Amino acid sequence: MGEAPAPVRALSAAPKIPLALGGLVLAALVLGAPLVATPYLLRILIMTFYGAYLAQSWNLVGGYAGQFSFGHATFFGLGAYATALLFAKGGITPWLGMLVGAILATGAGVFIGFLSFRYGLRGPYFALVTLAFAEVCRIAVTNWRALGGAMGVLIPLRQSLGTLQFSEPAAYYYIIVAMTAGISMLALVLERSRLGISMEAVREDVDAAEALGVDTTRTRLAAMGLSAFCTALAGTFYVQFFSYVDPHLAFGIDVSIAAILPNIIGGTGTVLGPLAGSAILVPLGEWMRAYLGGYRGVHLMVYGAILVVAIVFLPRGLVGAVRRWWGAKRP
Amino acid sequence: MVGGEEAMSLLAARGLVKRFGGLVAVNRVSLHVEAGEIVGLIGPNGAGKTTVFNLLSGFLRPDEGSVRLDGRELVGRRPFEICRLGLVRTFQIVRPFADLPVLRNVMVGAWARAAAAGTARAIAEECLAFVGLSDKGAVPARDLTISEQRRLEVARALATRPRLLLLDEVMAGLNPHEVEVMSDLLRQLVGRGITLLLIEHVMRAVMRTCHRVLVLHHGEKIADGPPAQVARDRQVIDAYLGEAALLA
Repeated sequence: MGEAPAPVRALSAAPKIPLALGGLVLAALVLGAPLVATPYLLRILIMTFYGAYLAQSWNLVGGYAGQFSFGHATFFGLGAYATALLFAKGGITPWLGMLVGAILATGAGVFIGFLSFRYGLRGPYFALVTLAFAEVCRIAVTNWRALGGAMGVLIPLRQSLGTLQFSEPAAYYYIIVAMTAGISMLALVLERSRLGISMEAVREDVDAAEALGVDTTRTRLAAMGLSAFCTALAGTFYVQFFSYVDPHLAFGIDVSIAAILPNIIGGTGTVLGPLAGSAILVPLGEWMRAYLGGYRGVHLMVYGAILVVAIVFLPRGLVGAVRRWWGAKRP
Repeated sequence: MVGGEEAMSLLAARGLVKRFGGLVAVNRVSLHVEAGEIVGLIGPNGAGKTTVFNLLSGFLRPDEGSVRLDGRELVGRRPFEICRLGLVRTFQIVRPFADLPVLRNVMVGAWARAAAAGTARAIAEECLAFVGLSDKGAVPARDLTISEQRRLEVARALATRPRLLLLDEVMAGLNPHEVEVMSDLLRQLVGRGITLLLIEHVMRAVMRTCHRVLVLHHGEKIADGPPAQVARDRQVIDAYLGEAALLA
């Protein structure tokens, strides 16, 4: 009947027509941006969407399912390294490399999840296990000469569609925009699905979910696998865009933090949260670097201070704050 | 209480034992619940009532004994499987999915049976209507009053389409009027073909609602019978009810 269940969330009552119009304008702006943006601005836009995509990947398990991974670098790194090594050493197209990386990452995600959930690790313990895995990967790759060791892997330049390398930055822009749109759509579909609702139930209360017939182990494993798969694709994009990867860039803690932060600022467990968070954090970071970069470390201090303030005053992120304001405004 | 109960009972637990370290929380407890009954499980604090619920619903594994639902062994199964077989429990301390809207809370349970989102939603709406929370569907569960949260707990459990519902103190913290409303609700549940086993401290409600009462004391079953008979039982009065109950 095409009667999709109407969204239960608070924003659903918002007027439909202005929303659709706003959406159209936004879409036109996003798609037209490369035509007018300077190369510098375009690069910031690419990094913004890239940050949004990465954060949305984390959001699937960390936000919706409430399993706070602190080691998404594992999945990102597997995607990046599988793509880079297969191409640099074997001449295998990144189209295939990305699939290999994503499948490896999914396997790793399910394995880490299985170990953790089987032994009842929750909350901070789960976060520590995921962090440990990422660190093990980083150290292993650093010391493994066949994988490029500490020097990393340089991607030979061979621009074509088959090698997923492009001379025009706009191509990367459209790719990452499409990826971000795709994963956000996935999140929206998930919200209305059985898996999505089970994930939210698990996040809120594992025992209560289990009592109501939710296979909480399978639900969490599915969330881990899905999130890991998507995160690996971010790794592939990174390699294709920068043509270089090393153990720290792929498996370092910075990657895991980059996957989490936009969610914290924007609001976890919502489609808009990571998008809004990245739209604020990435340009802000660039701006800080540009204006305060002259004083060593100052831009990082200011960045950190802004984060602390945001976490104190917006504990549920921007989306949470807007939602509360919206809810309070109506009777 | 004799003969044929193994073959016929909806729920039959035999010789349940659960030890926590040196403490025997549940000691050789056997019980049965027949289809269509409302059975009360009462006893002083620490008697092992909630532990029995945990054993029946798969949250704890008994050290000894068996639990059968319609002849099917439940020991060794996980709670979600037991739920799908038709035995659902609620929690003594309400555990709503606080951030989720009320309707979404109930849909979690509805998905235990539904095959499509539309079906799950319809089941959830029907269960909300049954407990009188229809107009609260979009409200986050955290914003409900305690009485509403108890009813939400019942609606969620109901949405899984149980045959046997284990209710752990659904009346706790309710005022006399709310207790009446809840008792009514429970009787209607039985009318829908759902069997009830409930832990309750509100004795008036137990005596008026239950067909049969089991009394636990120090992890052992000390009485099993109609409310009026149990209320006159010397052992029960000494252990739990006190002389005042005789006057009620």
